[in-house]
Amino acid sequence: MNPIYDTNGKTIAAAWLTLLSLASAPALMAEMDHSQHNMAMDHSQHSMEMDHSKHLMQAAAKYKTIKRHAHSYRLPDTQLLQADGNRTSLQQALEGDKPIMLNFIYTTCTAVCPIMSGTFAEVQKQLNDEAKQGDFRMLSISIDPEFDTPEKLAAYAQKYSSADNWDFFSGQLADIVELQKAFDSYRGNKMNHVPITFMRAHADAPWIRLEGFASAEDIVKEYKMMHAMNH
Amino acid sequence: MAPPVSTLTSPYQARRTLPAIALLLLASTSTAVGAASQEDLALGKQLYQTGLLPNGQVVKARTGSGVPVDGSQLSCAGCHRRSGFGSSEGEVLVPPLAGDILFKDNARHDRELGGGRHSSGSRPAYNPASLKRAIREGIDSSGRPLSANMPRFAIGDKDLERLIAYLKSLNTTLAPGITPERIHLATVITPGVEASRRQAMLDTLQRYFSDLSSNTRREVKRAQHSPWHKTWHYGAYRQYSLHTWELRGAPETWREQLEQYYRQQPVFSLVGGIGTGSWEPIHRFCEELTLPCLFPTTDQPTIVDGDFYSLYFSKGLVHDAQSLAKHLLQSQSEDKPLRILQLYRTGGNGELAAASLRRQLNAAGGSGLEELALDAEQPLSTAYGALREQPAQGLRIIAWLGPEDLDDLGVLAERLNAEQARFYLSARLLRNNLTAVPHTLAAKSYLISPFDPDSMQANGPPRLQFWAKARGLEVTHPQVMGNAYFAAMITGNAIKRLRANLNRDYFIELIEHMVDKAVFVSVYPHLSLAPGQRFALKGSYIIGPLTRQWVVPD
Repeated sequence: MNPIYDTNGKTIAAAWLTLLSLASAPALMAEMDHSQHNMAMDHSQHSMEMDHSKHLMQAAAKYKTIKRHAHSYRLPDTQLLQADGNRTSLQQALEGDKPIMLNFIYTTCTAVCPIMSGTFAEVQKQLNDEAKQGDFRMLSISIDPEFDTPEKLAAYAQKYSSADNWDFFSGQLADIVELQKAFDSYRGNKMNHVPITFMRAHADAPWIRLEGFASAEDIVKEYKMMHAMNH
Repeated sequence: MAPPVSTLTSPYQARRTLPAIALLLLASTSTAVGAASQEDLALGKQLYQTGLLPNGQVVKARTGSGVPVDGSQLSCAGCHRRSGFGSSEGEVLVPPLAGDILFKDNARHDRELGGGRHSSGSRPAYNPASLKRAIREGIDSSGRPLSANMPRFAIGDKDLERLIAYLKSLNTTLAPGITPERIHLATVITPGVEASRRQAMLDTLQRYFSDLSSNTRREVKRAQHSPWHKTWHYGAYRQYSLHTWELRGAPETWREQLEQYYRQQPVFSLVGGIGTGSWEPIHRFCEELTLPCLFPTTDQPTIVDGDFYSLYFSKGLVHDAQSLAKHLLQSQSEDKPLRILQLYRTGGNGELAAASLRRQLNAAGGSGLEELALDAEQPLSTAYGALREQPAQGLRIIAWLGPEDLDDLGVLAERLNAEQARFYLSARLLRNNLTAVPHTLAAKSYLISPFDPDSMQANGPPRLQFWAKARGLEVTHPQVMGNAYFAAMITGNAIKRLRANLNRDYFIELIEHMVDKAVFVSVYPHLSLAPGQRFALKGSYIIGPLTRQWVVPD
């Protein structure tokens, strides 16, 4: 089971589930079709290739499938304010030939952003060397830019980020709304926002839109494909 | 050999076959779920609200999707909220946990929740053991996995028991100000408020709530005789009573007056209200009594991190000063250094605004700030001599003055006839008497205002105007009445959504979500809140003869 717990009281259900996994794993492995693992994103299958106990937790968690689409978004050159108070623009922030991961957050979000940012943090840890070398970049843009001043963004970054390759931005409210619309992620009201992760292999590649709570594995897998494509 | 405890069916059987050790186990279990001490509840509350264990360490967890998180990123209250009533964001539904909700069977109606999207579904009641399992392993009381977003926490038994005891203690007492037939509300008025502004606010609030109470066809009857399956809906219906709490004398005496009013008639929430000077005594009173204090009209709200119960339109004069400082610093350049002169009268709001601007400019390393303070009664014209000696080129004169000084300012503007001198006026301190600004001054001045006087809603948002006209009320003070109307509307709508859950914390949490969705019902450009935010406006307009800039301080 999960190594971080000291479960000195394994419940009957847990024991039963463990038995089930051992009994049925070979059968499930046989059913798996590896060729579709990158597209259909049936998450329970994808994670089964790895450590069985972990797959069990994730399958047991009844993970909603995420949707994956490619888009060529036409993006405005939004004026952005960095967490260190400096100004930049979207095009400047996006330039370069390294893979990019991007999401929209706000620091007082309660249910969605902590998960998304926690996931980005996990990606940074799993790709620790690449993160420190700047092999990929992460951008989180605030959809509540009037409250999320550079100071607030810096404090938020402190909670999650463990390397220099993850930047946090705000800007003028109207510009940020326009940017969300360009990414087809504007829901009228920040409380209505839904989790979406955007990824792009390089400046001329299309954006990959992962809708739903993409896991760290989903994102790392996508990154590895992009990295392979770029080399 | 004794049968396992779970298969015991009769107490007689127990007496015959239960060994001593099983009896001991039973005894210890019952003390564990018995009454929790005050200290236990306090520790449970700490864990719930901040994610801190008694040893001061942050609790660790992993979401169902395997993402490691800790209590500083994702505490219980973060998603399930301080009230324990849960929340929703986008398509994520966070279920309620307060009181005995978890310890009752929960029959979910899939049709209401969009069927299939919610992983918990219907479930039987939790008991302490199954609830611990849910928190640690993410399996609910029906054996199904909880949402992948729910963290699986690494928490020891004792700490979990304290947490569970705290959950049980939430929402167990009826909020004050609620009777079976009525919801009691109050509005606070401090001394020194102009009579017409006071009346405008009161007329709006009183009319709004009396309308709510009387716009019923048969609500009262439905509340008394609703069909059983609608009791949760109609049973919540109550009429409103709005009380007016007038404060008199020095601010040091207000606390006692507020307590007396509250003793006479406890209320569920304060709504609107209006004050000159500092709102702090009322803010403190509300925070200590866990009394919501919603959107008063004040230029001096209490600005502090971490308080929960007072919600404001803006930071008042502090926003004026902060936005102005940012605007001035932005317009500064190397070859044109800034020369700023601020005028104010001692002992009033103007002095506070000046102090705030001074702090802002000093923090930015500002030099070139001069000041001229006048006594309360001293005419501005006495300062003309001193002011005329100032070279007017590039001078920024910040006039933190009221409408009484406008004529004198107009004369000053005329006399300083260099083109580069610029005046800044505060709409708040002028109490929006903008038509009284002399032409000579208007041509050279910038206005700091939380709303745009030329906007469509400046004369009162259209909805307010229709509402007022239909009731024979004149919109004499658009900002004051707009504020009162907004406060009343948000209060009424939020109470409606509370239904039978008349809980003050949940009330505030609903309002945090509802403000963003309220469109064009205030004079302001856009109001926005979110969990933990307490100021719905984040900046001010700086409006010049040809420009209009919305400035959000950093």
